[in-house]
Amino acid sequence: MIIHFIEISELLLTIFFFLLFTKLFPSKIVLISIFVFPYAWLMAKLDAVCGYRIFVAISTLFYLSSFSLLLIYLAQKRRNIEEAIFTSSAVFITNYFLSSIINSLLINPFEGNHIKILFLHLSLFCLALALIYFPTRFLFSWFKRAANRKQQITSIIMLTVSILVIMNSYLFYGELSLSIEKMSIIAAILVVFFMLFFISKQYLFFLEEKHKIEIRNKTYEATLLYTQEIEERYKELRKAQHDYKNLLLSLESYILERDYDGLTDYFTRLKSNEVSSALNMGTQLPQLQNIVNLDIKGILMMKLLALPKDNFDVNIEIKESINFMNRDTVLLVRAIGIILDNAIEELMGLGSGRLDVAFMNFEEDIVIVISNTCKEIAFPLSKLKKEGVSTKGDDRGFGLTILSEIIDQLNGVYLETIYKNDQFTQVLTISKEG
Amino acid sequence: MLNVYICEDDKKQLADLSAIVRSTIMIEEYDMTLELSTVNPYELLNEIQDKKNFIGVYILDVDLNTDIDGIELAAKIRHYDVSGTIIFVTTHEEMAHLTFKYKVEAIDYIIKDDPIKMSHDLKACLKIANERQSHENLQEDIFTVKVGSRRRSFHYADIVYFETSDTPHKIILHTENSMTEFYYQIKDLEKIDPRFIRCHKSFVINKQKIESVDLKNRLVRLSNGDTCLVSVRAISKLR
Repeated sequence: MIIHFIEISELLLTIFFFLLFTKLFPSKIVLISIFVFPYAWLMAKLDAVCGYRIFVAISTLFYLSSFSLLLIYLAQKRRNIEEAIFTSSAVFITNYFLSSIINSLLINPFEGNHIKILFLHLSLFCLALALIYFPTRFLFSWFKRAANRKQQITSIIMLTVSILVIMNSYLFYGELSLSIEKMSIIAAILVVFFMLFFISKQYLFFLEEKHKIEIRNKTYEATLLYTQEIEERYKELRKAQHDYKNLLLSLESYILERDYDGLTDYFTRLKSNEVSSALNMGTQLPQLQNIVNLDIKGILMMKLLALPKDNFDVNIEIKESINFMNRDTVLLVRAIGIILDNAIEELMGLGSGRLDVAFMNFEEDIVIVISNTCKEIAFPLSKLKKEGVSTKGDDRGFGLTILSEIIDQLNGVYLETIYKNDQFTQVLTISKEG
Repeated sequence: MLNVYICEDDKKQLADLSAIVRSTIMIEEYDMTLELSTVNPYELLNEIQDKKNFIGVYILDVDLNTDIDGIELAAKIRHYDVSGTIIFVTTHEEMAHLTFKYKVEAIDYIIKDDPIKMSHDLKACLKIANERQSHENLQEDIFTVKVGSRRRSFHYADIVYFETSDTPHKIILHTENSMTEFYYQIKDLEKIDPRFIRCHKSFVINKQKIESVDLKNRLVRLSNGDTCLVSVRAISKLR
């Protein structure tokens, strides 16, 4: 029993290690540790009662299924098949090699005092895991940077190796030579896994396309709204221009009649009049045209047009041409969307207030300032990033947590959060090169 | 001594602005001179380019009727004169207060639609510029950092603590009412001033902002309500 116990604990340790490594460690997974005892007991019974053949079959099955489970979990979390295969294969390969190395290092690996052996094995294993920390980190960062094609090939090789490793006890029980039977079973399993690989790849691609089409549709709708808005503003502007001409005419008549008192009177009335403000209107939304990246323009249109313009004072400042050159804007769009959503939600809650949006160019950066009226925040700002804390009461504060998670994934993006005089301001500094 | 520069494309308004500035300096006896008033932004740039050891006050129109506007001019001025005071003169529809504030750190903007209010606001701005000069000697107590290519400054007295973020080398600076991210080495932060102490591998706190220390749980409570961890080694620093 002790052998199985050590084996399964080692596997569990490796899985924990790699999950921690990829920052995907769910605390619930610790619960699995409970199953270590029954599993070890079952395996020991199988080994003793049913003979080695059945035992090998069952344990291989167990390893294969845990491999696929891990694979599915990682693929679901990361939405990247190659990375999932790479990580889960790495788990099983390192587990296999580390435990074989430790077993071969000890002279009588499984003889003597049980507790002592257990302790020795597991502590050696932990030490080995600690030792491979830096090489693994290097490997993972290499993998992340590698080209798509390279990632695919590496993951396929890793998959093959890990399946061979998992099935090694099956391969080598009985005689050492490989029979046709065994080879064909291995081949069948490999084929199944490869097929799964390509199918899921295709499926993910399909999902992504669907998502893209959805976004495009939304942007299209927003563009339609935007066009309507612009047309309306244009009409207002035309009207103002018309009024303006009339004004000039009446001014002219005052001058022609040399009625300077009347002129002064008329002029002061004019200045306080709404005519000039009508001329000023319509300079806000059209500024969005200064943004070159369509998806960013789209999200701004969508969110800004969602705010009813009667109660809220919206100020947009995009005075220069804004172009996020080589940057991948997918995550940026999400970040801007979250900031705007939070601002708009707060304003809707207040019923009135002011929203400021500014985009500006710096030497190597683009700075986005989004500022909204906000009711008093009675706790330290850093709490806003904690899950579940929000200015809007309970269980709605995930926005800022997600925002800081997104920003942590982006290179050269800095967030500044300021709360001053009832204004809540988020400043994003984004380097153009990414 | 402050040097005042005015750049405005409308000759009439330029003359008005110059007159207001001249009379204000004389009446209030500010330590300032009107160095240059011009319609050409490049003349202004040439003037300040090779000048050393001066503090400028710039009164700029936003629309200059040339290939650069007032905001770009201000950004260029910032290359030569980092601490100068920039004031924008603008009409209502050109107003861009966030851009003024964040891009060129302008202290204020004056809306020129109403001549009487404009004159009043300009006087107030000159007063602020004059007061800023007398505070200039406090400058050693400012922590300046680059956020990307943007420069941010904080008074030491405003900084509550620094914290490392999940991204390597990224630091979050906390004041009473703001959080700012930038790249820095945390071990260099405790060297900027003796009042900053490294109380944990991921925290550098301002000693003057400590509200209470909980030695039993090794926590320190700061004036903005946040709590930081304290490492065993750093306990002696806090006693």
